Amino acid sequence: MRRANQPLFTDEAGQRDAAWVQAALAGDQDAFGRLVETYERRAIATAYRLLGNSHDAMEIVQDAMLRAYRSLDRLSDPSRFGPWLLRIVSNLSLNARRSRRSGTIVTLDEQRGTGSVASGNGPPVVTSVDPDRQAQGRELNEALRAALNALPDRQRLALVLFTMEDWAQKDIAELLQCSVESVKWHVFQARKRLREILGDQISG
Amino acid sequence: MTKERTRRPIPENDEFSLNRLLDDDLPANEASSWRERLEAEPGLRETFTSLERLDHLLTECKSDQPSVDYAQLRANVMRAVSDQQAKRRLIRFPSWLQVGVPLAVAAGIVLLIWVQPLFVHREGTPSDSATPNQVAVIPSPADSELPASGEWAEASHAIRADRSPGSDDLVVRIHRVGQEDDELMHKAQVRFTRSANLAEYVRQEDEARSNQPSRYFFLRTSQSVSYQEVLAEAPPL
Repeated sequence: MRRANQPLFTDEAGQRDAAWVQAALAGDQDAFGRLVETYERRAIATAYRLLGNSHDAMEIVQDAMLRAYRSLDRLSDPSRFGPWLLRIVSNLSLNARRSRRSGTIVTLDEQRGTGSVASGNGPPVVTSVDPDRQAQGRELNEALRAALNALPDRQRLALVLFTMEDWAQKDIAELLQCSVESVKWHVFQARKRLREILGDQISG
Repeated sequence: MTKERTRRPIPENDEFSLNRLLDDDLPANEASSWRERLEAEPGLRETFTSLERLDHLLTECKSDQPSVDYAQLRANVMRAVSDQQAKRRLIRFPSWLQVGVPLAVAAGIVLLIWVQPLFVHREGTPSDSATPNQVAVIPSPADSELPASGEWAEASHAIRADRSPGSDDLVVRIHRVGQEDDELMHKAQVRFTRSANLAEYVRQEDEARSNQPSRYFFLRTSQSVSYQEVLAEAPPL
């Protein structure tokens, strides 16, 4: 059973961010540096889950951070810096994905043959050393990856952030600018679609 | 009999509740009741099992982490931020100029728009097509830059505008010339209003000028209906 994830975009975090944003607007670069440091991992994780590639994720996040800095004075509520930045990251990532139109997403690690999920560097899906079962596990992961890529953007983003990045539904709702109920619905629809695509591979 | 054949779809509401059960998102009493139902109903149990397996698979993907040098990322971002700030300092104006310059520019634009009709017809402007509504001419389609307002140049397509007699309607004439398969290289930014007479004017213009060279030019109207498109693909008339 999944445990409810802890929200990141709390009021306390918002107040802290607002102070940093104000300081950054006044010319304090270190304050912006603290904002970068606070959100860099989430930003990279979000971009990576959408792009499947560390290098692209890093480029997108750098771009997003700079755009955020340039537009800082247009942020109407500085306490919402976090969701705003991550929204820029996810929008840029989705745009990059659309323009890339590569169909399936292949990670750099996969290309190198040292991928954690796809090539078994991380905890394998099938723990047996039996080569046939390992091959089945890889096949299943490939199928999952392709199925995820086939999901609509919002469903994919909601599911990936909720299940793989342990975001709280409230945070995802802020990112997607929708209600928590809509997030639940996106996650539900995404799972439903994945189960349809993967069929007997995951059925009971 | 295969699983596929025996599996019966469960109502969507139930499936949604199973998702919430999986996410620990149900009140305790509801969760307990759903667990009892799972024991008793194989169809629900099967769905829940597949949800758990899917969740397990997705959770395992967490181990696929990006390999990013965060120190490098931070350094790159902060370097770009410093550059940005340096640029801002370079173009910083005294505070009175920060207000004055945009005001002066805005005033200049307004003045330009206001006096422009007085300078529409320049020397060399052919009189036959010099209507009050012409303001600019696009040169031959091969040229990529627009000429100054009021200049003329040969082109294969033309647009002209007149006030129709006894009416405030602006009539736009689009002239398409030549039999060759024109490869349009310009996008014209045309402002116009529609008229009931427009289609007929276009037809007449096409007919009358089918063997003559023609011209591109911009139109100016008092209305701000804007349309940007290649001329050959003008909207339905």
